[in-house]
Amino acid sequence: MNTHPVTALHADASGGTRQTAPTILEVDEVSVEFGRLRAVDTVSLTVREGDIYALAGESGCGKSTLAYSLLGMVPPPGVVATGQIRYRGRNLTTMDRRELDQLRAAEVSMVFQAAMNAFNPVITIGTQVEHVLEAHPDSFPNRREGREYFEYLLRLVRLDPQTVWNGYESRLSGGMKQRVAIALALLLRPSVLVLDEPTTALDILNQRLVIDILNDLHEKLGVTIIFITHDLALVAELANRVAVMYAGRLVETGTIDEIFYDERRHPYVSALIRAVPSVTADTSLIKPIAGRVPSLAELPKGCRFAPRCALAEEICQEIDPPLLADASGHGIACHVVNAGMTTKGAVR
Amino acid sequence: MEFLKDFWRILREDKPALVGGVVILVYVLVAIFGHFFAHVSDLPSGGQAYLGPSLDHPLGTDFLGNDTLSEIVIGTRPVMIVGVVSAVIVIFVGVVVGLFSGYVGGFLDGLIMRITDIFLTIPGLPLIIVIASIIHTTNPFVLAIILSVTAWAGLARAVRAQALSLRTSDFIDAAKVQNLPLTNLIGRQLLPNVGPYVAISFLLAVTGAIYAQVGLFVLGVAPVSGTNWGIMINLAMNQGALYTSRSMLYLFAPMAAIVLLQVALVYFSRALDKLFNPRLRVQ
Amino acid sequence: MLGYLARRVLMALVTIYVVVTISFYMVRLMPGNPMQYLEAQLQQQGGVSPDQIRQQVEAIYGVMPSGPLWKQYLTYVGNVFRGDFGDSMLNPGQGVLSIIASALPWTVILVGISLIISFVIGLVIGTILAAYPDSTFSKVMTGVVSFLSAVPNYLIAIVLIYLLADLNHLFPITGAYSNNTEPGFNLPFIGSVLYHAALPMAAYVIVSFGAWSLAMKGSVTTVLGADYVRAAEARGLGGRRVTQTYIGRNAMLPMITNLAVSVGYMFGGSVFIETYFSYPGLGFRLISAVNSRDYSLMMGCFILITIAVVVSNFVVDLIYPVVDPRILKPASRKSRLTAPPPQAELPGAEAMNA
Repeated sequence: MNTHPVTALHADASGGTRQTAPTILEVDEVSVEFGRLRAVDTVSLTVREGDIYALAGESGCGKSTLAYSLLGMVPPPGVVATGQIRYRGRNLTTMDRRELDQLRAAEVSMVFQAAMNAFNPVITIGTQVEHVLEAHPDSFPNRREGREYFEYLLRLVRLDPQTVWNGYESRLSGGMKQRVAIALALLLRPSVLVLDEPTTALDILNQRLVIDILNDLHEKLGVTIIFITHDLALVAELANRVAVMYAGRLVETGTIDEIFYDERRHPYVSALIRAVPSVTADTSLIKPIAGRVPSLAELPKGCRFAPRCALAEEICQEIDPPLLADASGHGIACHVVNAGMTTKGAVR
Repeated sequence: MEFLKDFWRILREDKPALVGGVVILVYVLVAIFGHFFAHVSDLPSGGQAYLGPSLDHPLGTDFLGNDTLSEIVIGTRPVMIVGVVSAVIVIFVGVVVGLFSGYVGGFLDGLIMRITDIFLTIPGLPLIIVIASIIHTTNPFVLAIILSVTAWAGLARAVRAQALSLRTSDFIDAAKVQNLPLTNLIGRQLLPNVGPYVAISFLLAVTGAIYAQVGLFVLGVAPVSGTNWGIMINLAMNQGALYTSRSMLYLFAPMAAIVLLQVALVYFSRALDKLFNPRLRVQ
Repeated sequence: MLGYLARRVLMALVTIYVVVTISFYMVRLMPGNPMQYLEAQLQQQGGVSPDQIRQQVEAIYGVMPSGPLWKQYLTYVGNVFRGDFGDSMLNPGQGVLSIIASALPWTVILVGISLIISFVIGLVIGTILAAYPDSTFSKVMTGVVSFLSAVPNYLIAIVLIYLLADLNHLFPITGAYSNNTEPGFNLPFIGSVLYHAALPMAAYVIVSFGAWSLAMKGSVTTVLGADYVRAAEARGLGGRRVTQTYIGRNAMLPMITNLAVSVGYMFGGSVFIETYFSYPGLGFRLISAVNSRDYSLMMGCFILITIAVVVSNFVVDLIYPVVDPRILKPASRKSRLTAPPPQAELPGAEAMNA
């Protein structure tokens, strides 16, 4: 009997896009620095069209910073110090404000955390939607159509268009605001939708609703979804591909099946999965991870997870392990797990 | 103790606030002990009028030949008394009304707030002037009461807002469940939470009171007797100090005394603000 | 909306009523009852019959000195609401109302223009301080402004008079306009008015612009860090749109609240400055009435200043919901006074601005 809480949900998880789907977003050796600190350290990953891609990790691991960089919105004083971010081949890191403005919302769109207030409190929601239409005239030359499409989207997220359009954000509950934000993010028919912690700060019922809505939207609109979370259960529910970060580095990438079912797994990810509490499982199976995430100012030499890792060996204290992938693209950054894999078989 | 250590650290970082605190302390000491060291008489002392600064008279002399510095020292006490007493009244009334009203809620709250609003709307300075001119008093306590007549309203409103939001807090519910009496609820639960705001308001109330009372004396609305800074300025102007440059020192000395104290109070209150509002410290 | 308005009207009327009542009682019940004082004076003068004495007092105070208190009260209130404040004691025959009416425009000009100037300067400086918090300008300016806002306005007035008017005769210090110009909408007159108003306005502006700057800086800083600004940028709204409608408008809102509140205070606030400059506005009239013990004029001034404040506040209450729609929603009803505090909000400083 499989009593591991997370994997039990996905007894027959399928998922993963066909390897043939084109790459839509490519992160190529990207580092984001705040002064001397690297919040994101040489991360590379590939998102294919139609993926539902989860970027997972604990607070402070750099996942949000990476997500913001996908829209060119790293908050100052942060800068993208190395690498490129390519959307359909175009490099975002060298675009100027005007190009980025055209890209945002129309090609790559972002939904912030539910706890944040995405709407100007003194203007009606409708006016703010019109601002978006006005800023991207190419998407909807006819504003009327734009408004109608927005109303269609509102219905897709299970909201009543009349209530929303003329109201102010104070009239909406947290869950409702989050859904309006999702609808607005999809208004200009972007190819990629990025969501920062879509279900954190929402109650259980709203969480369920948002998950269903996202699946629905993915099916109906075919949009590529990238979402950031620390909630493994959400990853299991929604994603087909996952990338796990720790202290600014990418430690594992792969399909959802590979991450949860493969024997070959990064120790941190194993520990995470073991740490998720289950309603049904025996409490002795829950093991929190000992130790703490290192501060970015005092990173350990070698593997960043080594101080907390049960499998750590000497080499782990010396050299930061590279991400090595096997034939199917399942990449892990761990000396011990990868032992036996030659760098010849390594494919990013 | 933690509290005081924190406070000391803030003071050390924020130099103007530290200086402000020291200045206030000096003024308080002068107010209390000044009378032992300085003497002033109303009669011409035979000295010369409007002398410049010298060892005998570091700030020169007034139009009667009295030593200006002595006058300033003596004048500190009445000003400080009125300032502090007025601030105490303002704080007391404002906090009590605000806490009570905010906690009780309902119709009573509405009624009290309407009354407070009226006091808030009535222009304070004209009212003070009118009352002060009718009640000719030299009693500093009466004067303090007059000065406080509308100033408490703003504080009451702010405190009430805080009380309202605290009223539904968990710790209040906990206290109620334990059947703690109303005085305990207001005094020991709510009060410490509004404490910081009140402390800062106190300092600013002192500032306001000094501003108002000196203004009254300078205008001649409050009776001219005794020595205080406002009266000094008033006399200076009446004696034509504005028209000669010899009297500059006599005119400016009390003004400087006032400004120094006001600025010190404002800067010091900023340190208090940082103490209670840690977000501001990142500055 | 209608309920909101009705409440405001009611409060305004009640406030005025309370002030009238206070005035009535102050004259009669305080130690040194001025009416009795006047009666005694007239009696001492001799040659006037008791009836004539009573008539005079009545003419001046608008109320019969004898008769039950409640009757006097009703008469007084009735008179006030008809606009009859009695006559000025020192200028018998001249109605208090007419004296005040001629003084009112001067105060409005002085304080109104000063308020606008300091507000605008404050906006500009505040925005710069918020946008470039680490520049030398910011550091210096913040220091200057913090210092200035702690200095009482009358002291600055005295300094200005001393330096610019007395010692250097650069600016006039009395009156609202030169005696050799004709009142009216002609250039020499307007020029003269402005020339005479320059120093008092300067005194006012120097003291006030600091508070406005700091308030604006606070407001802009808050908004700059707001989530919805980042969200707007994430939607590709251009720099102009974000600055105007998401930053600018939201930062301005609390400032407009404060401006509105200040308009109310402005009528009472000019007292000191007008007196020093002998500028014939409301404040000046009040003080000269005080100094000459002209009680009816004094009361009239006070009542009218209050009415002016109440009316201004009411007008502001009318306009504000248009600017900030949130005010009408019962759930999120914000009191004007819980807006981010400029110095004006704190109790001690309230007296300062008053």
